[in-house]
Amino acid sequence: MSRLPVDEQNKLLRGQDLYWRIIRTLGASGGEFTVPDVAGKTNAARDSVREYMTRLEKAGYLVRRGTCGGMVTFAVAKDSRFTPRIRRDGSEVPPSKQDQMWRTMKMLKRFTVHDLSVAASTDTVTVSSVHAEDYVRHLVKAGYVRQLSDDLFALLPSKNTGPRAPYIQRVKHVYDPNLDRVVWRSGHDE
Amino acid sequence: MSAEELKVNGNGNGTIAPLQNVALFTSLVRRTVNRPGHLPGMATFHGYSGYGKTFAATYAANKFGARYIEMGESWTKKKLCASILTELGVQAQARTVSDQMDQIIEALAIDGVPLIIDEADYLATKGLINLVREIHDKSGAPVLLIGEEGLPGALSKWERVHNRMLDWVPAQPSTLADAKHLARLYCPHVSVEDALLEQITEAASGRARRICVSLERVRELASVEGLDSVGPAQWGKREFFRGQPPARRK
Repeated sequence: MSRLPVDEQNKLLRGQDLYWRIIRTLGASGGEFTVPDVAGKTNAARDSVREYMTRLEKAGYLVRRGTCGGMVTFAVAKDSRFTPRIRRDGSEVPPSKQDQMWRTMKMLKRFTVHDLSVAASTDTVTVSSVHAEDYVRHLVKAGYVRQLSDDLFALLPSKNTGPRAPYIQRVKHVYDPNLDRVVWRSGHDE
Repeated sequence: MSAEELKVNGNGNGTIAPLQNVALFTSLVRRTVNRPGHLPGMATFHGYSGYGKTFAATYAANKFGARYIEMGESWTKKKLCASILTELGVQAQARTVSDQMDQIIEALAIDGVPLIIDEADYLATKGLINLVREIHDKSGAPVLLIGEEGLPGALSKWERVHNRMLDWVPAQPSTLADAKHLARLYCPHVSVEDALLEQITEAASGRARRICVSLERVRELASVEGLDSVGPAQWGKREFFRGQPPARRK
Protein backbone atom coordinates (compact mmCIF):
# COMPACT_ATOMS: atom_id res chain seq x y z
CA MET A 1 0.00 0.00 0.00
CA SER A 2 1.44 3.36 -0.92
CA ARG A 3 1.83 5.95 1.78
CA LEU A 4 -1.12 8.26 2.21
CA PRO A 5 -0.62 12.01 2.47
CA VAL A 6 -0.62 13.16 6.09
CA ASP A 7 -4.15 14.55 5.86
CA GLU A 8 -5.42 11.20 4.63
CA GLN A 9 -3.51 9.50 7.41
CA ASN A 10 -5.15 11.80 9.92
CA LYS A 11 -8.55 10.63 8.73
CA LEU A 12 -7.64 7.17 9.99
CA LEU A 13 -6.71 8.46 13.43
CA ARG A 14 -9.16 9.20 16.18
CA GLY A 15 -9.19 10.61 19.69
CA GLN A 16 -5.92 11.30 21.45
CA ASP A 17 -3.87 9.76 18.60
CA LEU A 18 -5.34 12.34 16.25
CA TYR A 19 -5.03 15.26 18.70
CA TRP A 20 -1.37 14.43 19.34
CA ARG A 21 -0.62 14.17 15.62
CA ILE A 22 -2.14 17.60 15.05
CA ILE A 23 -0.30 19.09 18.05
CA ARG A 24 3.03 17.76 16.76
CA THR A 25 2.33 19.23 13.33
CA LEU A 26 1.26 22.64 14.67
CA GLY A 27 4.03 22.66 17.28
CA ALA A 28 6.84 21.72 14.88
CA SER A 29 9.74 24.19 14.95
CA GLY A 30 8.40 25.93 18.05
CA GLY A 31 4.98 26.78 16.58
CA GLU A 32 2.26 28.02 18.95
CA PHE A 33 -1.36 26.94 18.92
CA THR A 34 -4.61 27.16 20.92
CA VAL A 35 -7.24 24.61 21.87
CA PRO A 36 -9.55 25.78 19.03
CA ASP A 37 -6.63 25.49 16.57
CA VAL A 38 -6.34 21.80 17.41
CA ALA A 39 -10.06 21.14 17.78
CA GLY A 40 -10.73 22.87 14.45
CA LYS A 41 -8.83 20.14 12.64
CA THR A 42 -10.95 17.39 14.17
CA ASN A 43 -14.62 16.49 14.36
CA ALA A 44 -14.25 16.17 18.12
CA ALA A 45 -15.83 18.29 20.82
CA ARG A 46 -13.58 21.14 21.91
CA ASP A 47 -13.89 20.03 25.55
CA SER A 48 -12.45 16.65 24.74
CA VAL A 49 -9.43 18.28 23.07
CA ARG A 50 -9.04 20.77 25.96
CA GLU A 51 -9.17 17.92 28.49
CA TYR A 52 -6.33 16.07 26.76
CA MET A 53 -4.25 19.23 26.34
CA THR A 54 -4.66 20.00 30.06
CA ARG A 55 -3.26 16.56 30.86
CA LEU A 56 -0.39 17.10 28.43
CA GLU A 57 0.42 20.38 30.14
CA LYS A 58 0.40 18.78 33.59
CA ALA A 59 2.73 16.08 32.32
CA GLY A 60 5.13 18.64 30.85
CA TYR A 61 4.50 17.92 27.16
CA LEU A 62 2.93 21.35 26.58
CA VAL A 63 3.84 24.73 27.98
CA ARG A 64 1.78 27.95 28.04
CA ARG A 65 3.26 30.74 25.96
CA GLY A 66 0.72 33.55 26.26
CA THR A 67 -2.66 34.46 24.83
CA CYS A 68 -3.96 35.14 21.36
CA GLY A 69 -7.42 36.70 20.97
CA GLY A 70 -8.25 35.73 24.54
CA MET A 71 -7.22 32.12 24.02
CA VAL A 72 -4.23 30.55 25.76
CA THR A 73 -1.45 29.62 23.36
CA PHE A 74 0.65 26.50 23.86
CA ALA A 75 3.94 25.16 22.55
CA VAL A 76 5.36 21.65 22.64
CA ALA A 77 7.83 21.39 25.55
CA LYS A 78 8.55 17.68 25.31
CA ASP A 79 8.21 15.73 22.09
CA SER A 80 7.10 12.12 21.81
CA ARG A 81 6.80 9.94 18.72
CA PHE A 82 3.97 8.00 20.32
CA THR A 83 0.76 9.45 21.69
CA PRO A 84 1.36 10.27 25.37
CA ARG A 85 -1.10 8.49 27.66
CA ILE A 86 -1.62 10.71 30.67
CA ARG A 87 -3.86 10.27 33.70
CA ARG A 88 -6.10 13.07 34.91
CA ASP A 89 -3.52 14.03 37.57
CA GLY A 90 -0.79 14.43 34.95
CA SER A 91 1.06 11.18 35.66
CA GLU A 92 2.00 8.88 32.80
CA VAL A 93 -0.04 5.72 32.34
CA PRO A 94 2.46 2.93 33.23
CA PRO A 95 3.47 0.37 30.60
CA SER A 96 0.94 -2.41 30.22
CA LYS A 97 1.57 -6.02 31.17
CA GLN A 98 1.32 -6.89 27.50
CA ASP A 99 4.02 -4.30 26.68
CA GLN A 100 6.34 -5.93 29.19
CA MET A 101 5.55 -9.46 28.01
CA TRP A 102 6.11 -8.45 24.39
CA ARG A 103 9.51 -6.94 25.18
CA THR A 104 10.45 -9.93 27.34
CA MET A 105 9.43 -12.45 24.68
CA LYS A 106 11.72 -10.74 22.20
CA MET A 107 14.59 -11.02 24.65
CA LEU A 108 14.16 -14.62 25.84
CA LYS A 109 14.87 -16.80 22.85
CA ARG A 110 12.86 -19.68 24.28
CA PHE A 111 10.60 -19.44 27.24
CA THR A 112 8.04 -21.26 29.33
CA VAL A 113 4.91 -19.43 30.44
CA HIS A 114 6.45 -19.39 33.90
CA ASP A 115 9.72 -17.86 32.59
CA LEU A 116 7.69 -15.15 30.89
CA SER A 117 5.64 -14.23 33.95
CA VAL A 118 8.77 -14.16 36.14
CA ALA A 119 10.97 -12.17 33.73
CA ALA A 120 8.25 -9.73 32.62
CA SER A 121 7.29 -8.74 36.16
CA THR A 122 8.70 -5.64 37.81
CA ASP A 123 8.12 -4.16 41.24
CA THR A 124 5.34 -2.00 39.81
CA VAL A 125 3.79 -4.19 37.09
CA THR A 126 3.27 -7.86 38.00
CA VAL A 127 2.45 -10.42 35.33
CA SER A 128 0.72 -13.57 36.58
CA SER A 129 1.28 -16.99 35.02
CA VAL A 130 -2.40 -17.05 34.07
CA HIS A 131 -2.11 -13.76 32.18
CA ALA A 132 1.15 -14.86 30.53
CA GLU A 133 -0.45 -18.12 29.41
CA ASP A 134 -3.49 -16.33 27.96
CA TYR A 135 -1.30 -13.88 26.03
CA VAL A 136 1.03 -16.59 24.72
CA ARG A 137 -1.89 -18.80 23.60
CA HIS A 138 -3.41 -15.93 21.65
CA LEU A 139 -0.09 -15.13 19.98
CA VAL A 140 0.25 -18.81 19.04
CA LYS A 141 -3.14 -18.61 17.34
CA ALA A 142 -2.09 -15.43 15.56
CA GLY A 143 1.00 -17.22 14.24
CA TYR A 144 3.40 -14.96 16.18
CA VAL A 145 4.62 -17.51 18.71
CA ARG A 146 5.60 -21.10 17.97
CA GLN A 147 5.09 -23.88 20.48
CA LEU A 148 8.34 -25.89 20.56
CA SER A 149 7.28 -28.54 23.07
CA ASP A 150 4.73 -29.07 25.84
CA ASP A 151 5.82 -25.99 27.72
CA LEU A 152 8.40 -24.19 25.57
CA PHE A 153 7.56 -21.28 23.29
CA ALA A 154 9.44 -18.90 21.00
CA LEU A 155 8.53 -15.67 19.21
CA LEU A 156 9.04 -16.06 15.46
CA PRO A 157 11.79 -13.66 14.27
CA SER A 158 9.63 -12.53 11.34
CA LYS A 159 6.90 -11.52 13.79
CA ASN A 160 9.10 -9.11 15.67
CA THR A 161 7.05 -6.32 14.14
CA GLY A 162 7.92 -3.38 16.37
CA PRO A 163 7.87 -1.84 19.81
CA ARG A 164 4.15 -1.88 20.47
CA ALA A 165 2.68 -5.04 21.92
CA PRO A 166 0.03 -6.79 19.84
CA TYR A 167 -3.01 -6.89 22.06
CA ILE A 168 -6.09 -9.00 22.51
CA GLN A 169 -9.13 -6.92 21.73
CA ARG A 170 -12.30 -7.21 23.73
CA VAL A 171 -13.92 -9.06 20.84
CA LYS A 172 -11.08 -11.62 21.15
CA HIS A 173 -9.14 -10.52 18.11
CA VAL A 174 -5.38 -10.06 18.22
CA TYR A 175 -4.44 -6.60 16.90
CA ASP A 176 -0.88 -5.58 15.99
CA PRO A 177 -0.58 -1.77 16.28
CA ASN A 178 2.80 -1.84 14.49
CA LEU A 179 1.08 -3.17 11.37
CA ASP A 180 -2.31 -1.59 12.15
CA ARG A 181 -3.91 -4.93 11.40
CA VAL A 182 -6.01 -7.58 13.07
CA VAL A 183 -3.79 -10.66 12.91
CA TRP A 184 -6.16 -13.24 14.38
CA ARG A 185 -9.94 -13.44 14.75
CA SER A 186 -11.65 -15.82 17.15
CA GLY A 187 -13.89 -18.42 15.56
CA HIS A 188 -11.96 -18.63 12.30
CA ASP A 189 -9.62 -21.51 13.09
CA GLU A 190 -10.81 -23.04 16.30
CA MET B 1 3.90 -26.02 54.99
CA SER B 2 4.12 -23.39 57.72
CA ALA B 3 2.66 -19.93 57.36
CA GLU B 4 6.13 -18.46 57.18
CA GLU B 5 7.13 -20.77 54.35
CA LEU B 6 3.93 -19.95 52.55
CA LYS B 7 4.75 -16.29 52.82
CA VAL B 8 8.23 -16.83 51.44
CA ASN B 9 7.46 -19.47 48.85
CA GLY B 10 3.78 -19.16 48.21
CA ASN B 11 3.93 -16.34 45.69
CA GLY B 12 5.05 -17.52 42.27
CA ASN B 13 4.86 -14.04 40.85
CA GLY B 14 7.83 -12.44 42.52
CA THR B 15 10.34 -10.54 40.43
CA ILE B 16 13.88 -11.43 39.45
CA ALA B 17 15.20 -8.14 40.87
CA PRO B 18 17.08 -9.73 43.82
CA LEU B 19 19.23 -11.91 41.54
CA GLN B 20 22.84 -10.76 41.48
CA ASN B 21 23.12 -10.25 37.70
CA VAL B 22 19.77 -8.49 37.56
CA ALA B 23 20.97 -6.03 40.20
CA LEU B 24 24.27 -5.50 38.35
CA PHE B 25 22.65 -4.81 34.99
CA THR B 26 19.86 -2.66 36.43
CA SER B 27 22.41 -0.53 38.25
CA LEU B 28 24.47 -0.24 35.04
CA VAL B 29 21.47 0.93 33.00
CA ARG B 30 20.53 3.40 35.72
CA ARG B 31 24.04 4.87 35.67
CA THR B 32 24.04 5.28 31.88
CA VAL B 33 20.58 6.89 31.97
CA ASN B 34 21.40 9.29 34.83
CA ARG B 35 24.97 10.07 33.80
CA PRO B 36 26.12 13.69 33.87
CA GLY B 37 26.14 15.25 30.41
CA HIS B 38 29.90 15.18 29.94
CA LEU B 39 30.20 11.43 30.49
CA PRO B 40 29.83 8.80 27.75
CA GLY B 41 26.81 6.52 27.82
CA MET B 42 27.92 3.22 26.36
CA ALA B 43 28.58 0.15 28.51
CA THR B 44 29.10 -3.59 28.28
CA PHE B 45 27.60 -6.43 30.27
CA HIS B 46 29.67 -9.46 29.39
CA GLY B 47 30.28 -12.99 30.57
CA TYR B 48 30.26 -16.66 29.77
CA SER B 49 27.35 -18.26 28.00
CA GLY B 50 24.67 -19.45 30.40
CA TYR B 51 25.24 -16.85 33.11
CA GLY B 52 21.76 -15.60 32.31
CA LYS B 53 22.79 -12.20 30.96
CA THR B 54 19.81 -11.70 28.69
CA PHE B 55 17.38 -13.11 31.25
CA ALA B 56 18.88 -10.72 33.81
CA ALA B 57 18.56 -7.82 31.36
CA THR B 58 14.78 -8.17 30.99
CA TYR B 59 14.13 -6.45 34.32
CA ALA B 60 16.00 -3.24 33.51
CA ALA B 61 14.70 -3.29 29.94
CA ASN B 62 11.14 -3.22 31.24
CA LYS B 63 11.87 -0.71 34.02
CA PHE B 64 13.55 1.77 31.65
CA GLY B 65 11.43 1.11 28.56
CA ALA B 66 14.55 0.06 26.66
CA ARG B 67 14.60 -0.98 23.02
CA TYR B 68 16.28 -4.31 22.33
CA ILE B 69 17.84 -6.03 19.35
CA GLU B 70 19.78 -9.26 19.09
CA MET B 71 22.57 -9.30 16.48
CA GLY B 72 23.00 -12.19 14.10
CA GLU B 73 26.02 -13.76 12.46
CA SER B 74 24.94 -12.70 8.97
CA TRP B 75 24.15 -9.10 9.81
CA THR B 76 25.24 -6.26 7.55
CA LYS B 77 25.07 -2.50 8.17
CA LYS B 78 21.76 -2.42 6.38
CA LYS B 79 20.26 -5.25 8.43
CA LEU B 80 21.46 -3.65 11.66
CA CYS B 81 19.88 -0.30 10.77
CA ALA B 82 16.64 -1.86 9.56
CA SER B 83 16.33 -3.95 12.72
CA ILE B 84 16.87 -0.96 14.98
CA LEU B 85 14.32 1.08 13.00
CA THR B 86 11.73 -1.70 13.28
CA GLU B 87 12.37 -1.98 17.00
CA LEU B 88 11.94 1.79 17.29
CA GLY B 89 8.65 1.62 15.42
CA VAL B 90 9.72 3.82 12.51
CA GLN B 91 7.24 2.90 9.80
CA ALA B 92 8.60 4.44 6.61
CA GLN B 93 12.22 3.34 6.55
CA ALA B 94 14.70 5.20 4.36
CA ARG B 95 16.44 3.32 1.56
CA THR B 96 20.10 4.01 2.25
CA VAL B 97 22.10 3.21 5.36
CA SER B 98 23.10 6.85 5.87
CA ASP B 99 19.46 8.00 5.72
CA GLN B 100 18.43 5.17 8.02
CA MET B 101 21.10 6.30 10.49
CA ASP B 102 19.52 9.77 10.51
CA GLN B 103 16.13 8.21 11.26
CA ILE B 104 17.55 6.09 14.08
CA ILE B 105 19.38 9.05 15.64
CA GLU B 106 16.32 11.30 15.45
CA ALA B 107 14.00 8.68 16.95
CA LEU B 108 16.36 7.78 19.79
CA ALA B 109 17.06 11.44 20.54
CA ILE B 110 13.31 12.06 20.94
CA ASP B 111 12.61 8.87 22.90
CA GLY B 112 15.67 9.14 25.14
CA VAL B 113 15.41 5.47 26.09
CA PRO B 114 18.33 3.03 26.31
CA LEU B 115 19.17 0.79 23.36
CA ILE B 116 20.28 -2.75 24.30
CA ILE B 117 22.26 -4.70 21.70
CA ASP B 118 22.61 -8.41 22.50
CA GLU B 119 25.18 -10.76 20.93
CA ALA B 120 27.23 -7.59 20.54
CA ASP B 121 30.33 -9.66 19.80
CA TYR B 122 29.20 -9.53 16.17
CA LEU B 123 29.57 -5.74 16.24
CA ALA B 124 33.30 -6.24 16.68
CA THR B 125 33.76 -9.14 14.28
CA LYS B 126 31.71 -7.40 11.59
CA GLY B 127 33.24 -3.96 12.15
CA LEU B 128 29.79 -2.49 12.77
CA ILE B 129 30.73 -1.02 16.13
CA ASN B 130 31.47 2.43 14.71
CA LEU B 131 27.91 2.66 13.44
CA VAL B 132 26.70 2.05 16.99
CA ARG B 133 29.15 4.61 18.34
CA GLU B 134 27.79 7.18 15.91
CA ILE B 135 24.23 6.41 17.00
CA HIS B 136 25.25 6.94 20.61
CA ASP B 137 27.25 10.12 19.92
CA LYS B 138 24.56 11.84 17.90
CA SER B 139 21.43 10.72 19.76
CA GLY B 140 22.82 10.80 23.30
CA ALA B 141 20.85 7.64 24.04
CA PRO B 142 22.49 5.11 26.37
CA VAL B 143 23.71 2.01 24.52
CA LEU B 144 24.17 -1.24 26.44
CA LEU B 145 26.15 -4.01 24.76
CA ILE B 146 25.62 -7.58 25.97
CA GLY B 147 28.14 -10.18 24.89
CA GLU B 148 30.56 -12.95 25.67
CA GLU B 149 33.49 -12.83 28.06
CA GLY B 150 35.83 -11.54 25.36
CA LEU B 151 33.66 -8.55 24.35
CA PRO B 152 35.67 -5.81 26.14
CA GLY B 153 38.90 -7.09 24.63
CA ALA B 154 37.39 -7.21 21.16
CA LEU B 155 36.02 -3.66 21.49
CA SER B 156 39.15 -2.11 22.95
CA LYS B 157 40.75 -2.34 19.50
CA TRP B 158 38.69 0.68 18.56
CA GLU B 159 40.05 3.56 20.61
CA ARG B 160 37.13 5.85 19.85
CA VAL B 161 34.74 3.16 21.03
CA HIS B 162 36.81 2.55 24.14
CA ASN B 163 36.47 6.23 25.04
CA ARG B 164 32.67 6.04 24.93
CA MET B 165 32.43 3.37 27.60
CA LEU B 166 31.06 4.44 30.96
CA ASP B 167 31.74 1.01 32.42
CA TRP B 168 32.46 -2.63 31.59
CA VAL B 169 30.51 -4.89 33.94
CA PRO B 170 31.19 -8.63 34.06
CA ALA B 171 28.19 -10.91 34.71
CA GLN B 172 28.73 -13.14 37.71
CA PRO B 173 28.25 -16.89 38.20
CA SER B 174 25.15 -17.80 40.18
CA THR B 175 25.55 -18.12 43.92
CA LEU B 176 23.60 -20.06 46.54
CA ALA B 177 21.65 -16.87 47.26
CA ASP B 178 20.64 -16.73 43.59
CA ALA B 179 19.60 -20.40 43.68
CA LYS B 180 17.47 -19.71 46.75
CA HIS B 181 15.68 -16.90 44.99
CA LEU B 182 15.26 -18.93 41.81
CA ALA B 183 13.71 -21.68 43.96
CA ARG B 184 11.18 -19.15 45.27
CA LEU B 185 10.32 -18.15 41.69
CA TYR B 186 10.39 -21.57 40.05
CA CYS B 187 9.25 -23.89 42.87
CA PRO B 188 6.79 -21.57 44.60
CA HIS B 189 4.88 -24.35 46.34
CA VAL B 190 7.86 -26.46 47.39
CA SER B 191 10.36 -25.81 50.13
CA VAL B 192 13.79 -26.70 48.73
CA GLU B 193 16.38 -27.46 51.43
CA ASP B 194 19.60 -25.42 51.39
CA ALA B 195 21.72 -28.58 51.25
CA LEU B 196 20.07 -29.57 47.99
CA LEU B 197 20.32 -26.04 46.60
CA GLU B 198 24.05 -26.07 47.36
CA GLN B 199 24.45 -29.28 45.37
CA ILE B 200 22.37 -27.87 42.50
CA THR B 201 24.41 -24.67 42.41
CA GLU B 202 27.70 -26.56 42.41
CA ALA B 203 26.59 -28.93 39.65
CA ALA B 204 25.50 -25.94 37.55
CA SER B 205 28.98 -24.33 37.61
CA GLY B 206 27.35 -20.94 38.13
CA ARG B 207 25.08 -21.25 35.08
CA ALA B 208 21.68 -19.84 36.03
CA ARG B 209 20.02 -21.68 33.17
CA ARG B 210 21.18 -25.05 34.56
CA ILE B 211 19.92 -24.19 38.03
CA CYS B 212 16.49 -23.46 36.57
CA VAL B 213 16.39 -26.84 34.81
CA SER B 214 17.37 -28.65 38.01
CA LEU B 215 14.75 -26.71 39.94
CA GLU B 216 12.18 -27.69 37.38
CA ARG B 217 13.08 -31.34 38.08
CA VAL B 218 12.71 -30.70 41.80
CA ARG B 219 9.28 -29.26 41.17
CA GLU B 220 8.28 -32.28 39.10
CA LEU B 221 9.55 -34.68 41.77
CA ALA B 222 7.61 -32.83 44.46
CA SER B 223 4.51 -32.86 42.31
CA VAL B 224 4.73 -36.57 41.42
CA GLU B 225 5.59 -37.69 44.95
CA GLY B 226 3.31 -35.18 46.66
CA LEU B 227 6.16 -33.60 48.65
CA ASP B 228 5.99 -30.22 50.40
CA SER B 229 9.71 -30.16 50.96
CA VAL B 230 12.62 -31.60 48.97
CA GLY B 231 16.15 -32.15 50.28
CA PRO B 232 19.07 -34.49 49.49
CA ALA B 233 17.16 -37.37 51.18
CA GLN B 234 14.18 -37.09 48.82
CA TRP B 235 16.39 -36.32 45.82
CA GLY B 236 18.46 -39.47 46.39
CA LYS B 237 20.77 -40.50 43.59
CA ARG B 238 19.03 -38.56 40.86
CA GLU B 239 21.26 -36.59 38.50
CA PHE B 240 21.58 -32.83 38.58
CA PHE B 241 21.53 -30.93 35.39
CA ARG B 242 25.15 -30.33 34.33
CA GLY B 243 25.38 -30.36 30.58
CA GLN B 244 23.90 -28.41 27.76
CA PRO B 245 21.26 -30.27 25.81
CA PRO B 246 19.77 -28.79 22.64
CA ALA B 247 16.71 -27.52 24.51
CA ARG B 248 16.10 -26.55 28.09
CA ARG B 249 13.38 -29.09 28.60
CA LYS B 250 12.53 -32.30 26.83
